[in-house]
Amino acid sequence: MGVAELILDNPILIKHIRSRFRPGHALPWFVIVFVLCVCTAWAGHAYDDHYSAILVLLGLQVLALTLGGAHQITASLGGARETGLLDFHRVSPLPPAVVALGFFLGAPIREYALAALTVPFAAFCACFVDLFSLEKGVLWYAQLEAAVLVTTLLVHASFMLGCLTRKKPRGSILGTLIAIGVLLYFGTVGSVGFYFGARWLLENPLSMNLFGAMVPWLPWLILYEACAIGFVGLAVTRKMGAERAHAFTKPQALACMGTLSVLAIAGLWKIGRVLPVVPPYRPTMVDFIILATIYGVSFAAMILAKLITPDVGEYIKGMRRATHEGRRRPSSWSDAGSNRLVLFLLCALVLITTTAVVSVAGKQRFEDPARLGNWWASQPEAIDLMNLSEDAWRASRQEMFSRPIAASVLTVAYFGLASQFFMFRSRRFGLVMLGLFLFAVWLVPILVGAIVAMGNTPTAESRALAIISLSPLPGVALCSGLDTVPGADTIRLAAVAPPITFAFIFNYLLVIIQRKLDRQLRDQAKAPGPEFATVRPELV
Amino acid sequence: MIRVRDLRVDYDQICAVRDLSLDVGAGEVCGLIGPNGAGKTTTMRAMLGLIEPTYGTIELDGVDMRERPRDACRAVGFMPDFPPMYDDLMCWEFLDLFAASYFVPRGDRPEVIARALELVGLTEKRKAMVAELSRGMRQRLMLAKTLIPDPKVLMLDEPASGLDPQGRIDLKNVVKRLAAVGKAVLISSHILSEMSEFCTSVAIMERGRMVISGTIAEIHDRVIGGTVLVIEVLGATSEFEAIVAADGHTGPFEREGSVFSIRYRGEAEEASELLATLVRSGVRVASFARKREGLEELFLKVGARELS
Repeated sequence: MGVAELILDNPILIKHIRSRFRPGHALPWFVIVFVLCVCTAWAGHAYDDHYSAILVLLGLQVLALTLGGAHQITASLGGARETGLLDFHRVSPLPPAVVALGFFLGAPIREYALAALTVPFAAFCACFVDLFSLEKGVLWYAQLEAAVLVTTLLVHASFMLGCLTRKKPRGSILGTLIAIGVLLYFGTVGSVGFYFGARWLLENPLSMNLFGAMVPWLPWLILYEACAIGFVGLAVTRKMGAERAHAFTKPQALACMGTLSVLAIAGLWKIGRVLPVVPPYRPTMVDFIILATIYGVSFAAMILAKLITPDVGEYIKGMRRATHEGRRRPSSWSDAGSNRLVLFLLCALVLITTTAVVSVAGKQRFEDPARLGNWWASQPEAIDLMNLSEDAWRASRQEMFSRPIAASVLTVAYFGLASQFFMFRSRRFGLVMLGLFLFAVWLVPILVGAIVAMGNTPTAESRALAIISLSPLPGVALCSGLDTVPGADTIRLAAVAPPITFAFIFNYLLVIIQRKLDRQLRDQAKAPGPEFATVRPELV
Repeated sequence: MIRVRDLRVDYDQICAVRDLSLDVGAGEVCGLIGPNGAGKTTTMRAMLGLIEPTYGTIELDGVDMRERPRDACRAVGFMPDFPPMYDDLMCWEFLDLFAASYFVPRGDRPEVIARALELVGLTEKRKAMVAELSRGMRQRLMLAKTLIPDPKVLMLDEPASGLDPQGRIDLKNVVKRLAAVGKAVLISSHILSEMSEFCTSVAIMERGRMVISGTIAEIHDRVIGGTVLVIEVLGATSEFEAIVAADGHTGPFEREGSVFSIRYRGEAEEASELLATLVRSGVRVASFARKREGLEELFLKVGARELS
């Protein structure tokens, strides 16, 4: 099947074109959008505010594509999954990628058409947006349009994955309310940012960092979003093929993490030289970026670890299959295999990525304190920071971030091990138990620390910070020494000790429960025993 | 056509299907029978690749389901008991969707769709919206969808549920016709009396295991041990009873008025000999019938034996 055939003769896409373009349903929407476009373009032209007109039209597109399109994907794909129609597509000879593409392009097809209706009007306004250069205005608009389109694809792909992985395919009421809240918040904040950001983009060429080279923002955005769309699409295709499959295979999860690592390093390569020149004060912008990267990469690793963790049912099935085929246990690379090996590799990738980012971020450029005034010139810390050589800067950052990196890697490790342990312990309540555990070790210390901080004793602050550091959420940042805080040594210990302890405990518990399961299943395989025996793993 | 060996399916920690083997050849209509929860639907879904078997081999039209699932699916038409449909499509559009999914050439599709609609008696509803169809019509449309790719293997899960009497007769005829042209048909149903009319073989499942499978005659012989002679005798029965007892092929009998039901292990030849003996001896035989027990009795007997 060629690419053109894949799209033009895609049965699912054709199905959606037929059902979504019935005149009775589609015509009113086209009339509404057309009238809105005419009014906006006319008003923009009449009052010579083409810029606002374009943004209103782009806003309309975003509204149709993200709100409307995402809703249509949820309704169409979620509905097909809920009713069992998706199973018909699964048992048809149509490859899962073709089915996925059909839903991906087909479900929001009317919204794409409505968005396309706004394009001529926006393009008309773009011709007048820059008084001196028609080309400049049109190019600026085309770039914005491309960015909206690529981001829409990513949003749609994410919604598809959500539809295929959720227990309730069409989402719960709570999920809908949260989504509305998030959309309202980001819609409001985003529209303000978009308004001023787009204006800035019109007047200034924006370049982004890629391995130290500055590339125009649009190819940079497309590269990053294309990678994201690629991996989300991979997961969607896999789930489209089989309901039971994990979103990623274990090698795919590692590839995803590897790509994320490369993109993180590429984007932050010598970032210090790209950032604006600022007065020399700590914490610097580079420090914040490194810290954010540590958090981001760790969370991504945790999500991937969760996605590849089999539950007890899958493991037992894999064990039985392995025994039947004369193997000891399922391969560590199969869906049914324990997550331990891949978790180790994910942790290694987190360690490598974060260490590399610290090493390559480079020193930030500072303004000379002497030129900033007397106060800055009298600050020895500012002068020291200014005078640091590139090597000394790197060494100081490596020293500063070694503990946060260790804490975050160990947190990923114990999260993955705990997740595997609880899923082996009980399929039904595994997630609940994991949630309770995370609540206890991630949120309770923050709560207790906040209560302690309210005390009037002189040591309250340092005690509170030490308690709060027990949670990795603030602990990773606090143990970096980014800011001078009382009781820094205790904080460092408090931040690193729990991850080490939990990693050892859960590794031990996992070994025990896995051995128990293996033994029970092998015993059952040797002696047929009762016809419908079940395995009930018991906690150590 | 359908070949299953040592199939095992586990749901979490429960074994839903255990070491099941099944063969359905070309032109064969096999009834998959079992109480609720026996594992019939699980077996069918595993055969379709919708559930991953723990182990076992599934071959459809000679293609291994695990190794080449897409090729295997190409040979299969599947119809579930409660057919889900795209309500926002017209009947012909719904069929066209699946015709394209099964790579029916674009030029052939109108003809294939027209033929399928005619087969299930929905030609007049060609341009009707699926949402407007009654339950029985939806079932017919689903059957048409199942037949669109001209599959070599048909799997029908409770196909008659929701169909009106005419629809059931049509379904029966369609299934018989398909079997006659060499399709392998696997049907799961609870309506055993109807299944016995068109099934050439049955497979009885109980608690995830295949209790017994084979042609109805084979199972009958193995389970019940022969046929039943139903003989109505007029007048004195003592001589009749003596002759019957002396016959080497008869078993215990039950009597209801003048009608005797006798277990009989002999073939048609021996039965006719018995009838001739009775007539020669002056027994007044009003009616004489040699019959096999229906699927319902068979199922109950097998089920009862398993449960006991």
